[in-house]
Amino acid sequence: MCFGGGGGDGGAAQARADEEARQGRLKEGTARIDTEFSKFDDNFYKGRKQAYTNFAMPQLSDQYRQTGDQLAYSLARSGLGQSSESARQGGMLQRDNAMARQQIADAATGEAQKARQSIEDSRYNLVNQLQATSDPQMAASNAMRQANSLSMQTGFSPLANLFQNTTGVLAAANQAGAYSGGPGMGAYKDYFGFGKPSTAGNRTER
Amino acid sequence: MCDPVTASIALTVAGTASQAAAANQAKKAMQGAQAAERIRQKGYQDESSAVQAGSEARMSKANQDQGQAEAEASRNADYAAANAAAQAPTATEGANLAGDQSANAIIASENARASQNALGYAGQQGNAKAALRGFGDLQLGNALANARAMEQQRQLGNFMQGSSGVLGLEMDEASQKGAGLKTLGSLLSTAGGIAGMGAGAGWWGAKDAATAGNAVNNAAIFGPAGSTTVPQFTSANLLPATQYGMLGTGLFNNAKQVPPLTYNIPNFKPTFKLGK
Repeated sequence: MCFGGGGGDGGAAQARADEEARQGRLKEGTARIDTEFSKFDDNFYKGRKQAYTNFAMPQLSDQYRQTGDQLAYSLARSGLGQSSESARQGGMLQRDNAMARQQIADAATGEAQKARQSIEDSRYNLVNQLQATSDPQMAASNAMRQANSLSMQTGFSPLANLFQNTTGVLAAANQAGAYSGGPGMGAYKDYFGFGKPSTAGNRTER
Repeated sequence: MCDPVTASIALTVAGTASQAAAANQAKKAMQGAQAAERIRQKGYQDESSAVQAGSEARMSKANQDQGQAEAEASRNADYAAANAAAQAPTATEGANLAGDQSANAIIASENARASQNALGYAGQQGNAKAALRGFGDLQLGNALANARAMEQQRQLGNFMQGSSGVLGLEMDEASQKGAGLKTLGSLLSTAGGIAGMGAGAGWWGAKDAATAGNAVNNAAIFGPAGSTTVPQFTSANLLPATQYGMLGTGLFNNAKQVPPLTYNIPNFKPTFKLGK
């Protein structure tokens, strides 16, 4: 009817359609970001943890073997290869080994958590960007780029000396001339409290 | 064909009805827009409430206790594996050792004791760290989950704002609903008024019509043409003023009336001239 309508040309319908389209784009963009980031699941983080463990554990084993060898040689030279002191030093080294392994387990978990935080930050930034632009295409492309970049393994720092308790003892014994053939393992014994320190021979060299 | 006066009245009535219908249409349209927006906002609110309920459920004591237990268990498993892999540095047991076997047995016992002490210490430290770091792991999980929930809430808030922003436009537009009818009503009312004036002015050339117009006008102002009665008070039926607590003398009553006086009100003919 000629006079029945009216009021339909104010653009409200178009504005409503635009708003619905905008909301649709935001939902679509968020879904695309989620799809790109779906690769970062629990298995991915377990992988990060395992990657660090694989990186650090051989270094630890190497350090442990060397330290154990040095200890064994040192004890053998001093005639303490089969002794309570050997057992005590061995126990300490074993304890340090266990604690170092725990430390690596912690660091591995830390690497996984760091990766999780970093990935969540990136995702958060992308969603923010999407909400600012309402452009799902750009969000998807940025999400893909970020996700690929985040998938790349970053390097880990090498381990420091994890057996300083034992290597410190051995260094002190060495400094005291324990391996110089002079006073034998007197210095070593002195260091650990066996007998009296020798005052003869090479102990006076330094 | 109906006379101009009737036509004038009919046009005016039709105009008023059209304007009322237009106002009704606008009101309904505005109510419709508001109702639709309420439904949309309710949907967003429901989604938001669901997100919030999820967050609150995750933070419940039972779930947090469970999360803490799982985080601790995970850490403990890591530490237990670390301890198990920590071997003694030297093998001091078995028949491969030369010399006095009884002395070897003592040394082996010493080694076992040292190893037990070492692993006991590492185990105790591992358990303590698991409790400490398990809590940290739980908090990290909470923080990430809350961040996700906040992100969802932010998006829902964005949608709510966007939708309510459009409502203003929709209300404006709804208030214009029935604008056609409103215009028609105005036109009809105006036409009715003009027809009435025209009838009174005798635009259609008919004296009768003009007379009829005058009659309409007179009737509107003075009542029916011809004669009218005006109440007249007489002293005969008046009551003493003292009955009403009035001072002085005299009578006052309007309860009874003497036969009314009759005035003749002649018809009059207003004249209008069109054009120059």
